[in-house]
Amino acid sequence: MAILSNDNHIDPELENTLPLNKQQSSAPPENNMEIVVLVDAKGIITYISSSISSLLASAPEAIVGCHVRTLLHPDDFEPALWAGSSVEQAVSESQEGEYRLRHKDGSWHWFEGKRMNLLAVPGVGAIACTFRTISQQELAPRLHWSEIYTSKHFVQFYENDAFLIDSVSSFLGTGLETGDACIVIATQEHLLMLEEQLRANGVDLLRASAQDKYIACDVNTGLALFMVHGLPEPERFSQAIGGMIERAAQRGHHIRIFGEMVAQLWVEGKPDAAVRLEELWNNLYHNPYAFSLFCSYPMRCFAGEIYREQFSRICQLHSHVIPDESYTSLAQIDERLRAISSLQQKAGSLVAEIGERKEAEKQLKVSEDRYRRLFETSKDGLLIVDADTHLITDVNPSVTELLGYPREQLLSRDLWHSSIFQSQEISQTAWQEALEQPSSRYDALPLQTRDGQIRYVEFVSNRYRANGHEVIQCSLRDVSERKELDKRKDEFISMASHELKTPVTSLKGFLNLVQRRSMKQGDEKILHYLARMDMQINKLTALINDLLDLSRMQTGKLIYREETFLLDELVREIVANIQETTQTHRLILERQTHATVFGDRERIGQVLINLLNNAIKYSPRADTVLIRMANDQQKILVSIQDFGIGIAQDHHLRIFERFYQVTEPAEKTYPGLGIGLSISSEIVRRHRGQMWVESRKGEGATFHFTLPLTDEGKRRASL
Amino acid sequence: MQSKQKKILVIDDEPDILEFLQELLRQEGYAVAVAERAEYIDTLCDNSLPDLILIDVLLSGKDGRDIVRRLKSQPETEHIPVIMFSAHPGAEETVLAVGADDFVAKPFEMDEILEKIATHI
Repeated sequence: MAILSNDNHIDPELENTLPLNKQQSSAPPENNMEIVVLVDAKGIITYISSSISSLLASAPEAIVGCHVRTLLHPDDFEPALWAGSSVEQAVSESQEGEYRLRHKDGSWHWFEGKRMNLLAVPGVGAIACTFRTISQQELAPRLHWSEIYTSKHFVQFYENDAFLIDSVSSFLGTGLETGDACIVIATQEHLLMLEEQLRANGVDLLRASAQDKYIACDVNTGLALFMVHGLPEPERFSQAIGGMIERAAQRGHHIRIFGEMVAQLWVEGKPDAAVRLEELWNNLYHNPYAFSLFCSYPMRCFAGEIYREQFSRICQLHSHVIPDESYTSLAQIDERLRAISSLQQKAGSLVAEIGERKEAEKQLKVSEDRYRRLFETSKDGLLIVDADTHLITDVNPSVTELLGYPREQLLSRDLWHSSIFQSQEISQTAWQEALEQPSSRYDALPLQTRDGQIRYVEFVSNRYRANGHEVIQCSLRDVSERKELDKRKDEFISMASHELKTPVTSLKGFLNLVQRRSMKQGDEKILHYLARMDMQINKLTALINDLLDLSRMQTGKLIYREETFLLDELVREIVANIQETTQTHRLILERQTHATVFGDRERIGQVLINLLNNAIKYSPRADTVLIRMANDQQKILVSIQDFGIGIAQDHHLRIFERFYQVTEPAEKTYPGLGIGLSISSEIVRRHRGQMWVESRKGEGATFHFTLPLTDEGKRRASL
Repeated sequence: MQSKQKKILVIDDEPDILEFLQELLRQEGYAVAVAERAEYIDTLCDNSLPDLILIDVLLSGKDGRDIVRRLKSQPETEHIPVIMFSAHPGAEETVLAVGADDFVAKPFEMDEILEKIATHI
């Protein structure tokens, strides 16, 4: 809602919520009271501001391209200046004067004009003219009621009552006809005249009155409702007048008010009280009902210079100023007219501001609608909580669907006492955290629905300020299904690996039996074959275990044992085992430390096996793999270097991702599941170590990983 | 050679596994009884009690751990060493928790099984 404050400044609250406002108030220098025209050296109009449509009813596009003589009155038009090629010299640099411009209906309207010769200015090359309205037609009759209805608060100055009653009866009469509700607070005399005029215009006042569509009140009765010690009392004013507006609002969608209370105060010689009352009226626009307020002042109130300032103040308090009837005659254009004209322009700037605010409101409405739509249709449950009171101020349909509570049962509730967050300790903690922390997040938070079931949600809370209020926005994404699927997948992989291992166990068992028999018979060849089979069965077992590990890592179920062990020993053992499986490569253990580490010996062994097997696999033309160990005071470093195909820089980070495979043609000839490095780096990470690779394509690769030393290891390292 | 043959009872729902374990353990000089069904345990009487039991965790409709829990809670059988095996490497903790004396992950090496049996028998 547009709000007019007495100092013409944008309401600070609006300013906060509307970043657009600043930009808009510094918008183009054009306004509705001024026409800007650019004319080229040949007198052709190249640009005209859109204000021409409101001032002269012509469309800008109908004027652009025409000669300037079609717009200017022949008497004001200096042919010599615009004709021919001598324009550049003929037009002086800057000139001011009064001009008549042609209205679309053929009539002529007076403007104050200013002309600047910018023909020689690069990038402009035109004569710029600005025409500012001064003609009497622009001052009074142009302000049709239809325009004024959209205005919030306007003032009419008048010299005789008949003129005023004419205006007011038109204002109220059209309102009653179109279904608006009307309130009149006027002097007894004006009330009688007004009602007589309305009846004469065919308005059924009795009926309107019976329907509460027409509320009339004597000005003194009105004032008595809220005046205290000669000044209007804000609380009483808003109760009395606000109440009246509320009553009327139930009858009509828009409300028109004619009020003379301010004028009465003015007449009584209480200008301060009058100005204060105008301000209170303006404050009433904060209430949710739309109304137009018509104020009137007899011109005699402003007789004499001393009232000049007060007159100006009154004008400034209104969005629109309608000068008194004496200005309808062109013959009377004089200093007072000019004074009024400038006041009108002051009010005009308010009209422009109202326009801007309306635009801003529209924008706000658009963005509000957009937000609302998002809010209402979001699949995620959204819950808005007041940070001070902890009461829920809004929920979207997804929340009510998820939790099974109707919206009304959630609104204005403090969730702390509800069973939603109370069923489990983690949920209590999460809710407390959401209320206290700027933001929080839970991947799978159990919430209890109305019928007592537990739903798992991804819970995210954010605290922010909106309209000067701290609010907490919580989003709830139902992950029960995902959790269930994860569980099923986990069970499946677990079961699958069990099913795969059972035949492998049998294969291995019978193989062992055959091996024993062959050993007795001393058949070396058979024994060799059986050893190969055994090795392949071990590889198969390792693959099955990898799949199982990967699934367990994802669900956080991989169990790590913790023990202190000598890494040297483990490395020697693994290197020896792998060496047995390869005839193509020599594994060279170059350097060792005597460091002890704390962790899962078997899992670290798995990392070493994986890295050594990779080193062999990806260096088919090489014959060496180097293993080095080193330590500092804090950690131990293990490096495994091969001389194989190498890895391009682009893949250095990604090779540790799950299922990642380097897909270049050469690498495609090395099949694998793409899970070994992912598992290895996760194991190292869980031991608070790091894993990385140094490599260039075609130049081999060195995989490094670190593990923290035990306290004992650190003590030894410092010796 | 042992003065008296030690008796080992093997329970697994996979006949192949029973077959090679039976053969292998016999070669090692043990007396071996095998059963596919857990109910076999119920038919044991004083004079047929084994010196060691090898039992799988998942037994087609029965959980081997329940059986071990029962064996370990009865005075007549609580002294019998029990080694459990499973294809779930994570089963080790649960197995030890019900009172089993040892655990072997499937697939296993013969030597591994024989070593474990030797330590408990």
